[in-house]
Amino acid sequence: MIDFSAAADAIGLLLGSWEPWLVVIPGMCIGLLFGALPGLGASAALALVLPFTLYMDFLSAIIFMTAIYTGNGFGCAVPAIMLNLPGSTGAVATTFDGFPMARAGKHNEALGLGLAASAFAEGLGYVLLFALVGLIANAVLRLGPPEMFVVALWGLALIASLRGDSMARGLLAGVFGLLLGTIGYSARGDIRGTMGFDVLLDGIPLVPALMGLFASAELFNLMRSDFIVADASAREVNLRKILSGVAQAFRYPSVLVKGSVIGVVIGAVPGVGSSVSNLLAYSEAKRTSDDPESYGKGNPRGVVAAESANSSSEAGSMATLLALGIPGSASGAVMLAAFAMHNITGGPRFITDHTDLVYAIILANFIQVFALLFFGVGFIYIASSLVKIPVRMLVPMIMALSVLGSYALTGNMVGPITYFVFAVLGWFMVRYDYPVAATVIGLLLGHMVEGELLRTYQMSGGDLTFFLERPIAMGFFALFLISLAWPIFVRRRRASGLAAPVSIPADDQKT
Amino acid sequence: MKFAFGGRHVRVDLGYLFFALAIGGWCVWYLFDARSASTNFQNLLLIQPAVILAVLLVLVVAAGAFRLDPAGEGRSSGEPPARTPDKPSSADDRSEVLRVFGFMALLAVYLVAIPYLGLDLATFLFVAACLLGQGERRPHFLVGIPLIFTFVMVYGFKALLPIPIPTLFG
Repeated sequence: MIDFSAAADAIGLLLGSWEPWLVVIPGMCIGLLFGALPGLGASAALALVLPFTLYMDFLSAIIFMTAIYTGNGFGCAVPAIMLNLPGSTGAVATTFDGFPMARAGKHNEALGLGLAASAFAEGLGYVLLFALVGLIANAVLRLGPPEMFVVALWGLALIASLRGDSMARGLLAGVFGLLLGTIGYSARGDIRGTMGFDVLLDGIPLVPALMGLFASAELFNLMRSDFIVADASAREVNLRKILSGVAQAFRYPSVLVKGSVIGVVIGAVPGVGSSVSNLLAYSEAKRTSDDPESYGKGNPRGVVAAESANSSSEAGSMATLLALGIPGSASGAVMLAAFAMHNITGGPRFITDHTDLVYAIILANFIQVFALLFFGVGFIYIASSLVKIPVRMLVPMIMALSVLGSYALTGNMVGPITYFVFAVLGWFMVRYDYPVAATVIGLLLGHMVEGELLRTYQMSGGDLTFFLERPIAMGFFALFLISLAWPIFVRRRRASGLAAPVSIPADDQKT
Repeated sequence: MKFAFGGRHVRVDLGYLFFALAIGGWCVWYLFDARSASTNFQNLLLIQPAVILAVLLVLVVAAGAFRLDPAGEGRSSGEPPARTPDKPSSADDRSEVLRVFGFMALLAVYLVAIPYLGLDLATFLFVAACLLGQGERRPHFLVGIPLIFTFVMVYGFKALLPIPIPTLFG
């Protein structure tokens, strides 16, 4: 499993030169900043620095890029917690409990929790990667279209059923998102749902849609308040509270470890990565909690689960990038471009021929964990000041920032228009109590689900018994069914546990 | 909206009903659009079953908009289900909804203005108009905040990004 001679060479590589260490701090700061600014995600940051990596040696270049990735992983949590604005798909679940905590004046603690969970998960993820890089890569190779299709459906079902009180609305929101996600060219080249707009041929721009769906409803709602945190005394920026949040994260070791493992495993699946892992880890934490009702209302475990999963996804995606040469995301693709610029091709041969280099990258990331903790606390201290800005000033600035970020992502007005359309849709969805996250995950996975289903159909020739020959797909399908049935089971168990004459609240009678 | 049916009062949450029907309507339109592109099985492999499922779910969800009201009185129409204090769905106050629609309109005007005024001037005017709409009356705030924000963000993005950012100045 671990090649100790290569590990010793890797330590030699890292200690033999100061150059790889020089790039960690700037990389971390760029990552944190780009993560905290909606619309400027990891892929934008990596793409921007790509030309500079040409002037570095390969190890320094990759360490620089992973430092940006690491900083970005936590940076996205800052707007998610402070403004309910997930700057990336990986920070969606962070908003669920992070923002309620911020509104309750626990922004310092929430950011501290997120930072500690990110740093811990990052470290654990790379430990797992160090020990299992080969195994993970082989496991991913076993996932074919049927498995990918069922994994995506499972992710969707988990999110749709998160809101146990309105399963039908959850499923409708998920299916609606799935259909929205298939707009544009189909896998076989048919054009659907574009209404004649060529800009939709490649589908709906995801991040502007996501910003609109999540942030806008909250922004429109916030206009009624004077400050994000109503209580003036709770608006303080307090280092002690940030550090207490950091310490608090370690009071939930099972949530931390489960989130990290889910992150690594799902992060290794190309095309899914942190987008699904954070939602899956959140859902798992809620499902196994003694008090699931407290989730979504500011439960610190929710922040820990989401942040640990999205941060450890980096290690998972690095596994497929290094071992298979397959980028799991846009950021991975930019990293692969850096590989190409240095005439290096990721894949099984890279692992066997340059094991020392692979280990050096992994070991450098351990060090980055401590750098993240140190710089992250400083960054939080500055970012927490957002709660001191009156809402009447904050809301238009966030809206304008979202429009600018959307423009930056698409390079034309398609991004801002998408943001606006989904902002209006999001407001109506929240108003009528539809889980927006289900639509988002459907939107993210729509194209992939259709492509994998088509490939499954082509492989099986339409014969459903084909699935019987795919035990992994069957296993995931069982998990999918359990995820759908679980909320109903819990509801019935709860109902049978209650005294008979308790009346159901009027609102709950609706589906 | 309320109506009597078989001697019993029925309340209908019209906003909730129309929104569910709007989702269902879009899904059905999407199926027809996909079918007009191609009726090939592979084109409709996911879309057709998904739309059928969506329509069934819309029926279940929409049924929730109709509630028997034995007392003949209750919540006002248009009020959505499952309210919580921090959600806009709790806003049965019409003025609150109109205010949100007003800001949505302002956001739409901002987007329309960008190609004509550039991101800098349009952003400046949008932030200033929002501040004004939310009750800010101090002139130095109405001018200073949009000016600083526009300068830092728009020109910051312009300096950082390799794509052309349309601006009127600079």
